Amino acid sequence: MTTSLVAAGACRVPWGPAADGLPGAAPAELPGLTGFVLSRFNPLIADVVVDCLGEPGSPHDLTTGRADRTAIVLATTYGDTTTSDVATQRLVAGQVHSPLLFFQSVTTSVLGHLARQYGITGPISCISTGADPAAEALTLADLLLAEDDADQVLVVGVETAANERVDWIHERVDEQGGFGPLPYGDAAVALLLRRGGEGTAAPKSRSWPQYGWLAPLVQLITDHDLRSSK
Amino acid sequence: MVAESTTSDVVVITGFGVVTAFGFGADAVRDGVFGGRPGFVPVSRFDVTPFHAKKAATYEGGGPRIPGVPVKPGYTPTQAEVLYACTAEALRMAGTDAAGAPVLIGTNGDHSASRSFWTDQAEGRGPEDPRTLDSMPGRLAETLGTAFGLGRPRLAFVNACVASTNAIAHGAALIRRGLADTVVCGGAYLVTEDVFAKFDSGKALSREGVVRPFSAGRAGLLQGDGGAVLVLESARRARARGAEPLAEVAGWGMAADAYHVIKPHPRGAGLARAADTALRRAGLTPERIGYVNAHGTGTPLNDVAETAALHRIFGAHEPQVPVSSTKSSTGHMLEATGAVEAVITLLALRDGVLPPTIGFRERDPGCDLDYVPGEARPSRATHALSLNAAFGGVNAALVLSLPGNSRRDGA
Repeated sequence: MTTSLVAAGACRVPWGPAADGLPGAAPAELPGLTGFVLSRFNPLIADVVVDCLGEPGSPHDLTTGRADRTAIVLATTYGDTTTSDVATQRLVAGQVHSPLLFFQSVTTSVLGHLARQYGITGPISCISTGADPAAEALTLADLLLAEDDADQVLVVGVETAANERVDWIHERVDEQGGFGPLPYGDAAVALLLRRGGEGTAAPKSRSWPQYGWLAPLVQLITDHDLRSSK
Repeated sequence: MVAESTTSDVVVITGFGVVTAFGFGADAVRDGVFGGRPGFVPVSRFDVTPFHAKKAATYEGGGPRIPGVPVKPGYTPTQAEVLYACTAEALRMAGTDAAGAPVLIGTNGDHSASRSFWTDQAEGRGPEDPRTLDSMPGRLAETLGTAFGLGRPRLAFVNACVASTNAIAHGAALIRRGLADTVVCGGAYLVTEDVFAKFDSGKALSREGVVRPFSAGRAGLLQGDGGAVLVLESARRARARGAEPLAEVAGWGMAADAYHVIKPHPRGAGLARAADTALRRAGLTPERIGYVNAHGTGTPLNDVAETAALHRIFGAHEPQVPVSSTKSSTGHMLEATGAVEAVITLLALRDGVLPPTIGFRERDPGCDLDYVPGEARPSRATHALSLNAAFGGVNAALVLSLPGNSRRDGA
């Protein structure tokens, strides 16, 4: 089995006073993403991935010459709750769904958008777990490298601000133990892992509690002195 | 990070449990899917008046009963109930308690209570339905692991229609690398109003109440209830405890199209690459494959793209490869589809019978393969390919082989 190294990283939390002093604090409201409405889940992913990999096709694009050997692993506890729950609330209100919600409610859609932008044709996996999603995403990425499914893996961790359903669930599952903390609000981290190096375990970060379970991934960025904001 | 390992073990399936609209277990699949019956009925578990489509392959209590699942009008079985029943059967069949095994489940969470949650919210009541807890995908894997004393990790794969194929592939990789000797993996989806409404708004659902994959004039997919759990083991462990391998997970592969947010690559580039990877991993050339269980959704774009992918994979051999879409019987089971179709593929190999594509009327010029139309067919296939694809151009492939036929058996 090989071990991997962190080649690049970026993290993102929203702009404003709540993000002051945090790595990845956005300087301004995130731009929208064409075709993806209502939710910040997809624009957040797109923004942090572009920050990590560089603009597609630019001289800084880290997928250049490796796009067919690049894999993506996305980890999230709850996924795009905004899209999912707005759709349900519209149903409750007797409204017809928007066709846009049909495809954007699926996590692979935004990854398909990014894959097209960068020409990425490696494996794409998306996982959800309450117990240490950061470590599980890194393990999955390492396995893809070890099995020679890819030469580099883009690991994306993402969570949007909890809504009423998430709060209701988290209060109850938290009582049962074993589930990690959620970020205080919208948050995303992207890391590019490559084969080689001495291995990169997910640190038990006590810093950046605002990032919740994503904090160990943020710690990797700060430990490796990688980019953490635009 | 994953620990250093140098092992490269054969991965076998030693047990499975399966649920379809036809009921619980392999015989229900034989009766419905291999018997060429469509499972589609008017949806009764929620009001379909606002929707264009009216049917789905829902479990209505016919066929073998699902243990622990009540049958009553309007009741939607929960994913937790289905996964529990499938896991109990898979472990019984495998003859193991799989203590300490990772749990990998394809699911996007159980949203059968989402409407009641938001109705309660809107009307100022405190939501009480415990099923809401399982709308968190990872919790389904967590509680399943706890219920059976299984190990970690306990992951939900949420990558849509390749989710449970991905779960099987990841489980096989863990075993192959010596990081686990047993894995419990699968997936579940039960037709819910929430998801039905999204697909209906996207005009993806057939309004004619049937699914006609690869046929001219096909009009889209219909959803179906489904769940399956498989016990994967290293061949070494299975041998050591005297367990009979049912099939080998000989190869797996995943690849992206890099083409479009929802449309598949028109020439099936990503699907072909995923299959190439699975075949390479299995150490098989395409002509060794005797059956393909296609993704075959019955949508105009998917079926042409998938046929093009099969041409790329099989080249000159392609006219001889029988290909069927069992979604014409089961409906599209979304996150569960890969696991259920892996079980169907396993049964095809073991029973020596290929399940048909039903609803096939006439040839589409873009779909020119042998789709096993109408009726099941005897087969002597020893290796089979199961394909799945998801939004975003995400593709997955599995190669299953009868025990004793893979490249590595003699090693």
